Amino acid sequence: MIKITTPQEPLPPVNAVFIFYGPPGVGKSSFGFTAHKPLLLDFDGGVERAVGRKDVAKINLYDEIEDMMEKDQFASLDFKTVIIDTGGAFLDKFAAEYVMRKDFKNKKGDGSLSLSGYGAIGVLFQRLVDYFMKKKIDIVIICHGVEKEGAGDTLRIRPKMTGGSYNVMMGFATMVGYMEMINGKCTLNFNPTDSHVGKNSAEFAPFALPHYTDPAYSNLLAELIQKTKDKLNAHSVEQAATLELITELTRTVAACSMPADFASFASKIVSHPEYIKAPIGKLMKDRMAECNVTFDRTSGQYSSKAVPATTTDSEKVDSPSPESRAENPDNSQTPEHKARLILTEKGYSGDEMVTMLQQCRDLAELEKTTLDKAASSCPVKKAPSKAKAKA
Amino acid sequence: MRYRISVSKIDQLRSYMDEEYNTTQQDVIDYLKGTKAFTPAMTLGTAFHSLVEMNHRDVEICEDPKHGTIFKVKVPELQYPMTFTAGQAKPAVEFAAAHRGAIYETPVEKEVHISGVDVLITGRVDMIEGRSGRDIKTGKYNLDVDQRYRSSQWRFYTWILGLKDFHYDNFRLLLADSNAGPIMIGSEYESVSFDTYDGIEADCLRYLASLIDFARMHDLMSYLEEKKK
Repeated sequence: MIKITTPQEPLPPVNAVFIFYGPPGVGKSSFGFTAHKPLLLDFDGGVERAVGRKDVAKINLYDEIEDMMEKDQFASLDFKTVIIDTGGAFLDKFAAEYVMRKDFKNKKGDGSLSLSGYGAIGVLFQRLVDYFMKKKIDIVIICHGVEKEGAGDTLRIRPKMTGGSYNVMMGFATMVGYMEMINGKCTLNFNPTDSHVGKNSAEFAPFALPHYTDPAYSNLLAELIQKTKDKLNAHSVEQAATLELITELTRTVAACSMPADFASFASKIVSHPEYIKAPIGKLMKDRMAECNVTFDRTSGQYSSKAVPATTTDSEKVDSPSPESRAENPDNSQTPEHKARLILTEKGYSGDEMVTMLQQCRDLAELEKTTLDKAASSCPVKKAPSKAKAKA
Repeated sequence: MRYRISVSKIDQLRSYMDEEYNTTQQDVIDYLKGTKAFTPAMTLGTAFHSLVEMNHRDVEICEDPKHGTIFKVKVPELQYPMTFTAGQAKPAVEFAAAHRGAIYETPVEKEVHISGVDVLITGRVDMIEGRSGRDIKTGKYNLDVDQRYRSSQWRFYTWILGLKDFHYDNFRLLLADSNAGPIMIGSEYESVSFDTYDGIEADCLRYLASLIDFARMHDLMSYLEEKKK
């Protein structure tokens, strides 16, 4: 069962999952050792060539990882970044062998992983990520690159592992960077391009790594990971503020009913970025349709559509919500509609109407009564609101 | 004269170029002409999609003496609503509850001048949630990250709306055959997200230019002309 964190819920402290891939000998493992207090889990014996080697744990069976997690032996080691070298060997060889040995249904007749086997690898990897997350340890996965066919005859390089493992790993990745030698310099590019895959949550520009003898190289990955985490945390805060603003605008547009309300609202949202303007504009159009209000592009004017003679003025102003329409096709009889009429008569409109309706819903639920009866007990406003005065 | 080209049409050509789903050149031509047939499995997917969105106009929640709470979903292609039990609907209901603040089915438009013509790029985003976009996929298959990554769809929506990232929420429907068509016996949920990047606009315009080349080569530009309202 996947745990879904709602946009309104605070995200847990952000840990980064970095993936680096590229051709052999480009310096991936060496670069991994520039992370903060790294421990490299060696799954394919390629670490011997690395420069600036630090702590390494040679893994022979995946059971060793499970055992260390179960006994919490990682906790006694003072490291802040775990490096999985390589991701392909880890998932396709060690984890695959482990899940096939543990459960027969994870293995196909030809000895390869079954669909449920990939599911089991996903669970295994999730457990590993969760474990290190709880310890506030960042994860770096080093992979070889492999060419895959892209559009037409073009080739696109991506981390080397089987499709199922690739799906599992990419689902967790915060950043995916391709390392290659360009003009004798090792470069790192997180941007996706035609020739290689990438993921760039921190929006880093492509750059050349300094030579390993340069002092700036010694903690380069530690700095990149920290900058990424700072960026993700900032994004989380920005996202929460954006959602709050959208909630506010949603409430405001729900309270619009007259052409003047929509004109005023449109002028408010026009300066917002597209990711706010487009969805809120959609809600506004929906609300205009409910209220029989139209917009003339030529004149730039909002006006009320002609309504059937049997419709009362108050009904023109207070259209029921789409929910209440769906529940009861006879709009004039819904408790919400009656409540809106009562509140309008008492002088509420705009944001106050939205607030009062919510209070009425709470009251109706508490007292096991209908919304209109709850509205009847609301106080009368002394002066009509602006929107009411305009109407 | 302005041309109106949807993001899904652009991605259909991209899908053919990437040799996905055995898409043929004729499939792309048919798609640009606007002819597409629905299969029962696709109809089930459409209904489950509505369930995820919890659109009150299409989804009716009822009590059934035999099955308890059931969800009746209106599907445009069918005369009668499709029915889901609470168990079948659970993943969709949980997902909808976790994304209460999202705004569904937002139309997206962007006007550009490219390859000597004016084009209005159009599309519809399943969900917008702050600076994140989401697309809900329903079908028989597991999430294919590589395939979703290659898609031009997330790039267009991310670029046009200025999103930070775009998520694919994949509900794999586990189906069994019956005389009345496929029956849903369960579902699995997976998700992946992709971030915006430098050069996303250039990539999108390249995909668009490619579609215009294709349409000109096959004399299909008239099908893309914007209709006068």
